Amino acid sequence: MAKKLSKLQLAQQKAEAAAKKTNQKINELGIHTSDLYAALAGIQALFDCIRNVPEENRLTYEKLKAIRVKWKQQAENIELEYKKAEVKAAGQGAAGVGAGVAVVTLGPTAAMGIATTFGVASTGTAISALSGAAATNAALAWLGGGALTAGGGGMAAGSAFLELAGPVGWTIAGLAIIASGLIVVKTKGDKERLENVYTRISNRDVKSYELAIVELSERIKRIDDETGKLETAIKEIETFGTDYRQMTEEQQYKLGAYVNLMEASTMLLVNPILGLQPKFSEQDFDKLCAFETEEFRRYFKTHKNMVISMANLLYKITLDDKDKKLLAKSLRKNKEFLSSVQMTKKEFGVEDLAKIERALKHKYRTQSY
Amino acid sequence: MSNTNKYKSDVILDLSIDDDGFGFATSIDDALVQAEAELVVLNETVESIKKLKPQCDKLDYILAASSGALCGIIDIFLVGKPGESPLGDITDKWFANRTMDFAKLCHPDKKEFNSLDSALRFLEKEFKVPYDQTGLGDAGRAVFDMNAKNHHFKSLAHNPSLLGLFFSILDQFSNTSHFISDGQLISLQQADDKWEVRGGNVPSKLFCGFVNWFGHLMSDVSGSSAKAGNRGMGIPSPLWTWTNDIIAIKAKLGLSVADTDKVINELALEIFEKGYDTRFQTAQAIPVFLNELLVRFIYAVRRLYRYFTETPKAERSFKLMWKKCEPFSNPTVKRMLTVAHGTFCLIDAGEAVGRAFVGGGGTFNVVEFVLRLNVVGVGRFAISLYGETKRAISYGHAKRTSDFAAKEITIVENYIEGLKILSVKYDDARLLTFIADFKKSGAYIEAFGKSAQLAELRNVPANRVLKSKADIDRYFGGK
Repeated sequence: MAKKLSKLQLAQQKAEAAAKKTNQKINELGIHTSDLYAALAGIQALFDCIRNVPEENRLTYEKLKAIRVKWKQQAENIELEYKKAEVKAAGQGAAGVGAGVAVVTLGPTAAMGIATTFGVASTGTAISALSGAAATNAALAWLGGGALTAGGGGMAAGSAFLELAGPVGWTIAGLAIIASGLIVVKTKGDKERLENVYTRISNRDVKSYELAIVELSERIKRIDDETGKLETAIKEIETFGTDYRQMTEEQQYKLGAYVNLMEASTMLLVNPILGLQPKFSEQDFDKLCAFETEEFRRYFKTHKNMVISMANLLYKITLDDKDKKLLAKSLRKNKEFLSSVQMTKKEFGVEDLAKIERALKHKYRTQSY
Repeated sequence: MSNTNKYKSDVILDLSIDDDGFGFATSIDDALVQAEAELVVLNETVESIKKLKPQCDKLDYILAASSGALCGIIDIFLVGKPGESPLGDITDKWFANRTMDFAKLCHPDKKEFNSLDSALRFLEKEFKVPYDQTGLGDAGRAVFDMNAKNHHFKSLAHNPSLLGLFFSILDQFSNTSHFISDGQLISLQQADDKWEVRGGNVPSKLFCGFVNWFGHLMSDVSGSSAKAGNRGMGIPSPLWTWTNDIIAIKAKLGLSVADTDKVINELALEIFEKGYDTRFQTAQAIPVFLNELLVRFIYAVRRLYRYFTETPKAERSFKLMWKKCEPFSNPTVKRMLTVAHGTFCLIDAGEAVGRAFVGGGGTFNVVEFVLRLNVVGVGRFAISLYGETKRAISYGHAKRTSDFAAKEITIVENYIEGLKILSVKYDDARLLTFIADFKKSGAYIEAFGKSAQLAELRNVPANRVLKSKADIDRYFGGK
């Protein structure tokens, strides 16, 4: 029992703790967002009373509220999808597969937290990395520590791998995959080397979680503060009356400032959490393809799935030649991985990792985080 | 309603999860401080590998080898072998002087001794022991081959080693005398009829025993009085008395003494009889010590020169200078020492082999070889080699740790990048004061400006930010 934990096991443990803490923070965020949402709706209603909106323009104005509405819808969607997945998982009795992290029961507050965490694009549509039910599942995958999805929560095992390698959470759910990778390696030195690669991936994920925890904490602080400010503003605006033209110049400026505050606070609901964003998104992929020569573009487009998931996996992971060789070898023998990237054993090799490195280099050049 | 309660309990359940022993920062500033500290540690780990690897350049190697060669030549010409050793003469004299000093120190009136002879006579009387039989009479001489020339070696209590001390105390307490002869441990009972160890109780007797042992060794180190004048037999070198120890220990434990033990013991006895004693061993240590000093000096001088040429005046300090030049705890100077002592041993052993063949008239004369081989040099070289091996092994471990740390740096730096982005994104404390600003008279336009800046900071699309009075009018007036 007193066996010393390996570097990898320690990193895994820390990643699990960080994920737990992140989940906890997201739940906390959810509680606070519901108050903010109410305050925002309240102040919007007041503004609508004051605004002298001609009938024909009403539709345009309605659209302005769209982001917030979209956010609310996203939250409801997440809750719904999660419930579906949960029922399925219970039916299959396979929820325990994976890293053994307990499946979190999801309420509307947590769903709101998740909706915020993954963000709603300012155009009003869900952010592309997370569109539709699949995206919701990706969010849920790591929320449940990966156990639900990886254990057959309504998704094929192959695509589960991709989703997990997507935003974050590879570390936790990937435990089984890692273990199968290590069996392939024979010598002690090689095993240690491969373990070190996985440890760095774990540590990278820990850092992503840590960044998320920091941002979530800052976000919660602001949501609390601004909910209070908006509530005070509502009380004050009520004293102004509803006729804009009858107001003093100071009152008019105040109204303008509160509109700005409303918009700024709305962003607290819809701006995504940086640490939990995909490290290499579809947009990054499109930018890469636009930049590359024909030959590479063709390669990237043919292996889009593999490129995106591997780029996410290897983001900021420095690999020397020996690391690459070993990683390629272990992945080549991993059926689950191969089926998820739709490649055969013969097709996948060390040169594919070099291409991933090329894709990542392009990303590093264009973006600092 | 019941649903809401259910969710609330879920939330509370989740909140009760702690950090599992890991601490996570929750403010950007704390996280930045932590991350920077992490980066410092990682950089130090990467740097630490440098401390394990020798940074010798070609000139360092050349100078170290030259120092070894120079000292090797000194060893050949000035140490040589017992009896024909200029440095040996100096050490003999030095030991004689120390013996006289010691005699003066022990004399109740602090009498000045003019000759070694009188000092020795005084010391032998002062530190009498029961195990000082030089010959055991004619019979003993015949049976055990004990004589004045070899009894310092054969008599265990005359050995300057821990076992020597043990047998000295034993002999003094039990009035015996132990010696090694022909591979056997011989014990002589009732060695001295008039003997009685001084002291009233056991601790004081032990103390007297120890003082007697030491004092008697001092009286013998420069040669016993009988032979005074023509070098005489000193006490054996501690680097050779272990051959006695092996036989004594084996005999006490009831183990049979191997032939090799006997052969080596006889060799050690033979070289002792030829004058290879503590005094000669000390003479051998001189070129080795000189080599050590020279190399460390060369190292320090070269680094000192480099320090003064490369460090700008403003940055100079004694601490930094010491760090850069101290010739003690770094692998570079240790590597130089390995080279220097290796060269020394090569030259010394080469000469010894040559002389052994010459001395043996074509066949290898082991005694000649051992007399000329500098054991101190060989020992010092062995220590260097041991250190090199140890460093090579620990370098392997450290290299792996350092490589890992170097790769971790990318991750931590990326995290810091992320934190910096957050610190810009959440730098809104100054802007959020706009509501308080409204309370100040006439500051409302400025306060409104802040609100617009806040909206921009939060990435509100430009067309939705109200930037001027006209924008406000348009928003509320529908114009």
